[in-house]
Amino acid sequence: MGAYSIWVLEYSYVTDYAKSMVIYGAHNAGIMRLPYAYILIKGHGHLAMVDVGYNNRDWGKDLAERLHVKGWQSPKNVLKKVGVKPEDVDTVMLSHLHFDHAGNLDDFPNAKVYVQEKEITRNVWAMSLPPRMAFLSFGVDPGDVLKCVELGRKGRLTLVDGDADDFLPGIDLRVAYNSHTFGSMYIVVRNDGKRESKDPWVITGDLLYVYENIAGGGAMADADKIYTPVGFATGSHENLILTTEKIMKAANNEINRVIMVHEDRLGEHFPSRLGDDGLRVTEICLADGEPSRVR
Amino acid sequence: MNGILVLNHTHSYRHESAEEAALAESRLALAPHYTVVRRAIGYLSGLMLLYRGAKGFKPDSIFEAAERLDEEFRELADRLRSLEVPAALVPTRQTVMTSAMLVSSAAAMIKKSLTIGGGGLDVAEQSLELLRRAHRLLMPIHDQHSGMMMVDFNHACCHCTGSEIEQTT
Repeated sequence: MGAYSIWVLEYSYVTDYAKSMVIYGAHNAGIMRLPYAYILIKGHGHLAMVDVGYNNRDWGKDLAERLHVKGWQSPKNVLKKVGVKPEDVDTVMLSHLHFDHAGNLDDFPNAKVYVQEKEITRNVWAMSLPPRMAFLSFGVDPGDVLKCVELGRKGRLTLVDGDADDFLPGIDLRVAYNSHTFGSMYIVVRNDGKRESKDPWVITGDLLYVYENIAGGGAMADADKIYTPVGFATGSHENLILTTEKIMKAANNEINRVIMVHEDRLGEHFPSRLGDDGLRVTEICLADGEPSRVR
Repeated sequence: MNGILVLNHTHSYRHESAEEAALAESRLALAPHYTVVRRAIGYLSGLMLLYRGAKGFKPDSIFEAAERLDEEFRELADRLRSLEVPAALVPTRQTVMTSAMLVSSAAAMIKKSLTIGGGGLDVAEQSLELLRRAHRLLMPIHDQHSGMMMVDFNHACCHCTGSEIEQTT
């Protein structure tokens, strides 16, 4: 038992996602179920989210028709499964600015939002480039930038410059420049509060999608277990690999302490409950006195 | 059969009439303008965000960008006005054109606000309402098939090749 409870909350999913998008080099390797999820962290008097999902009003139709995304549920419905209301969330950490992670800030009216400064500055720069270089700002909705400006004016947005120790008690923000995106962020929860934690959880954003990114069968090399980058990035493979090493060190080299929101098999490793809506709630850990929401 | 063979997004072919083809061609001609406007919304609003929130951000860069975009988007609006499109696409062209004018007006407002005696950041931020309106106008006409996209799902981490690849006939 520790200071924080952590749940991975699916809010939609794709049943036929190309593996090559998830694991670099896994061409013609078939398809897989890919959940979309965000994470709720509860403890020390805080309700904190890592990412907020996308807005179905704007994107649901396109995503459903074009990408076969199914089952979207609002934060209100999803958070209800763990006894929380969106308006009670006080902190949102955006792992990066892609619309499926940062696209639903409106649904968290009382939260303060934190994002890496470089994630903003470089995306803004990328939007100033000729459209033929639009790849560099892929996945970013200008509407989300406008929303961030609005939050900034209200004093609800903070641009984080690099790493931040004890951002919340026992929670560290870690930046990975030029990796999945310009300024992607991963979050380390030291659940015993100790600097050399024996109870860490590392929330990766999209720096890692699935277990194969950490201990795959060597899609690109003839090896048993190698780090293999995610299939989609604007930064370098080098930075993704070096970040994976840092993530594993922060997780005490225990793969089950690495929490990836797009990993469909979390339920094989943690208590979980699949709802009638086809969406899974996975309970990573429970704080002292916190009842299970999945049993 | 008259018309052309079109490869659609699910990798299947279908025949289009000459009218449909002309419409599709005009949509494709509008798409780059749509892209330019939506990127400018992100760029200008992002600069405002950095002006307020980022350490060491120089106001000069926002002034220079606003100066450039004011002129560019007035010219773009003029070009769109003279762009010939089928009647069915006139409202779409009008929407993109209006959005371009709103971006130009926002840029002009920022530029004026940041000159000496111009009111500074607080006045400049009033331009955000114009950018929001431009965004709101563009959102309902976004169309993945013709490349008018607020977010390009082909280049997003949620992109999936799909399983509907059909045998062509």
